Amino acid sequence: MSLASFTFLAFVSAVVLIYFIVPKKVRWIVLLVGSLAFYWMNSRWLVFVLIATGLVTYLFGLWLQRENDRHQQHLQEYPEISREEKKELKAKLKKKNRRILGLGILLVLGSLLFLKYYNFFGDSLNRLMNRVGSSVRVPLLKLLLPLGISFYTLQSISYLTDIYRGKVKADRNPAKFLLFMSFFPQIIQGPIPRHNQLADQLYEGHSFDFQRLCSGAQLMLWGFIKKLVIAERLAIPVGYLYGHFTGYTGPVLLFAAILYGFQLYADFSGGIDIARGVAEILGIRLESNFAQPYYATSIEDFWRRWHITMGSWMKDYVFYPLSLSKAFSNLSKKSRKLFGQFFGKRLPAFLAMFIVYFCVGFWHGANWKYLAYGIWNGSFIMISILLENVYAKARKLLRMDEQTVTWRVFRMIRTLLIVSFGRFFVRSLGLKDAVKMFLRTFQNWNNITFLTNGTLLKTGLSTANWFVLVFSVIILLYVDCKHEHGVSFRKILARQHLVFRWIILIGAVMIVLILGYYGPGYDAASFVYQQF
Amino acid sequence: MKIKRLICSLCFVILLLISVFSIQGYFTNGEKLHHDRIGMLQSETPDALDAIYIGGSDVHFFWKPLIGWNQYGIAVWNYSIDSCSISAVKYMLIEARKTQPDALYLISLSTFKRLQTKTSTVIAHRYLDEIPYSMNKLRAIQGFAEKSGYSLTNKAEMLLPIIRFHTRWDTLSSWAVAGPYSGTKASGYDKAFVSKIMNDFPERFQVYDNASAVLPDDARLTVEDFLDYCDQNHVNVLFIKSPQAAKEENQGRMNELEKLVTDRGYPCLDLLEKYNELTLDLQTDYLDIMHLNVHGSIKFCRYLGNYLKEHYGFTDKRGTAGWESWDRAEEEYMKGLAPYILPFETEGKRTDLAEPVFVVHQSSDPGDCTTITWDPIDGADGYAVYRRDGEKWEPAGETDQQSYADEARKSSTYTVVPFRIMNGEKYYGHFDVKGISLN
Repeated sequence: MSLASFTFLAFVSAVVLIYFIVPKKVRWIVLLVGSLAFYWMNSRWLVFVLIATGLVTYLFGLWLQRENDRHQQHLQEYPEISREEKKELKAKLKKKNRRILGLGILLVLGSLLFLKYYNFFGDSLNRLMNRVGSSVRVPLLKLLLPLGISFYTLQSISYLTDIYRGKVKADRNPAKFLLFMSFFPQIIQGPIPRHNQLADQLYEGHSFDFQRLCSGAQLMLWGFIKKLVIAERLAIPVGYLYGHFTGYTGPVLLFAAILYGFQLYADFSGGIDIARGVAEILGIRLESNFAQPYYATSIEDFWRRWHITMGSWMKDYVFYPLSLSKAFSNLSKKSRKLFGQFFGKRLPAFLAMFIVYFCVGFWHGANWKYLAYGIWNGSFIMISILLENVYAKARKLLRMDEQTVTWRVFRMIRTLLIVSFGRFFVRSLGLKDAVKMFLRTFQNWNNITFLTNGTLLKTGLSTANWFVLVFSVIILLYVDCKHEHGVSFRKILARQHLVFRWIILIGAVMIVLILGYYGPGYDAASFVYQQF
Repeated sequence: MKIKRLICSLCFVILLLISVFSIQGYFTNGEKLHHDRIGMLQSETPDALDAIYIGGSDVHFFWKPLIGWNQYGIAVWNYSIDSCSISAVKYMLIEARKTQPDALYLISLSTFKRLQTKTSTVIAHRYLDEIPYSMNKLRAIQGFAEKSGYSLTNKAEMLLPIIRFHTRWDTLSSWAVAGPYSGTKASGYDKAFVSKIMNDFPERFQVYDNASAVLPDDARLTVEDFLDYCDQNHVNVLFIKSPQAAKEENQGRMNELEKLVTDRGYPCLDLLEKYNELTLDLQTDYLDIMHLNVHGSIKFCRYLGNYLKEHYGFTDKRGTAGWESWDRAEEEYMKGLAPYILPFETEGKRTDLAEPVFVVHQSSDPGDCTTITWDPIDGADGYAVYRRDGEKWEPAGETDQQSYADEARKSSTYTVVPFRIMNGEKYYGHFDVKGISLN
């Protein structure tokens, strides 16, 4: 069941109706039943993998909490113990909890690693064995990937780690905790919530609010426009150009990469908007996962605006634990001695960053191309950090004012190009194709008239559809521009006269109904990020 | 405040639905012929039509209401959809009876013989998009969905066809936006109907009177359910077996179906058996093994119209007050058919005389005449020669000889029609409908 389908709309309508009919105390049960039903409709028996993961996480959470509570209780019972003893007790607790946390993460992450990556590594190993002439083979298995496993696994890890850090208290109610793990609007493609942000909202029954209903429905509508009018329409020429890339060079391939970037953005952010809109109707606030990424002025800035919850998850649960660890601290001291202050200071951070982007790459999928994607992005961030001083000197020499619009536009275009090149790795069939496509982009830049000589009309879209596409992408960028300046269209719309509001909303519904790529004959069923 | 919001919300939803339903007509099916046959029935005077003929292409490639009107002044509507399933027939009957409850209902048994209980979404749209929203429409959607395994999206697209047809936004069917469509009284035709003649065919149909077949339970139950409805609502029904070629197995099915309906007391007119009486000619009257062309349809309408007139007392309403639209439509329609038929075809005076084999030749001397020669036909009293220079066939002349000399022409097309004089009137035999051109 796709988020952009009639079945989903019918499902949401039923859940919302029942939610606001039942007493407040049991509304969380409606969400739980709805979420499990949604998961069952999409993944059938794999719902038990979700439940098992939830159960393991819940139990390990309780275990960690119990250790924390015991420690606190001991301190309260024996207030007279010395500072050194307190320190010792804390160190013991930390050591024990680290083991519990480690085991919990291993179990939870283990299922993801096994289900998602076993066949990939097995196949890679088999190819290697084949190359070296060995007859050793790893048996490949028929494994099904549960819906949203990449998302809820990260949720589990963040939950356990937050308990370990004392940021949150463990959930005592297993059913409520399962709701946190399985909440249906965000299970397919995020955002990745933190327990302290989402749990209380889920468990507390919310009253019906008409303004929230309107606002949430409008957000869903905008999500449908992005998904069905823009993303699905872009998928056609992108699919054609990537599928026939050997017939194109230079600017056409770069154009394809840029189009894919917009397709990915419209698809992903559209899905997030639909999820957030549903949650808002239910009185639940989900984090926004995008902050106008195409207005980013550097790769680092881009990753602060794109898939924000994953970025912040990586920062809080991979980057900081690594870079602040004892091992990295020792590494920092050694590298300063070996490579000097400048490089030595940065090396541990670079290593941590490399690991982060390695994880980001592989999180996207079990394929070497995703690893290349992660390394591509990580490398540019590292390069920009390394060359920071060089850039500053150059700007001073050239007397360039950083605050000018032209400089900002230049940086935005530069970022767009770097991101677009990186997207070759994501969209291509494999690493080889991605590299081929990458190299072909630098060939034959004579054909810059491809925009007007009919090349694009052979990619599966008619002239009328190209017009719709261009116009809708301009609208998308305009809306993002306004958001960048803190303007909320929904709030502006809410202040307008009723007749004007209705014209806009009815018009928007008609745009989706008429121009949307859905229904019989279209495979609007898959969101790109749903595959993760 | 809450009530005000509720009213506001309801008004918004109503406005939205009105907007959607208002524009979706521009996107739906776009098949003029189905709109003509199904949608335009509602614009007929209620309870005025003589009969309504329900089925699939075994109806609309056979019966043309305006040819029936031209022949006898009877108003028999062609209420058919291509590839009609058995499941659809009952809903079509119910829908038609809303405005024409007392009409005679002609049901094509040939539609039933396909035993097709499933209705694909494409076929369902042909019908559902042309009828107004009603309980019958909802039941039809549900009925089709149950038999054919529709998804929720399929059901949604039946209720809101724009879900399927919205992709037409960049090529909106011009006739859909052109304005009100007067229709052709469900007699519309395509190019194949007026100009195609079957090339490869058996000499005559094989009729398997004693063939039988086992009807699948699903099909049998569907037919019995249909008959139950007719019983309960006292529907005046006549089943018709069309003169279509059918394999022995299919004829077996039709025989079983015929037995099923006649056992329930419903009459069945077997036109396959009466193939000779209809004077149908496989060489000239069929566009393919299953469908008649304009020449065959004229004969079919002539025969069936006469049968209905005699057995059901339908009166000639030509020139009658209240039927002006039929008179006007018939005049326009016959003008449209004129280029493709010979004038005597609609007069009904036909007899079984073989088709002459003739040759058209012109001498090389300019100014010399064009000569058409043929072998004599047994039983013919004379021969009428027709000529076509542009669009229309015109009589060139008549003779009792085996040749005819026409003034010299460069590019005329000729055909020769034998006739016999009976009771002082000429009765025409078979002829080459395409004619031979002078090169």
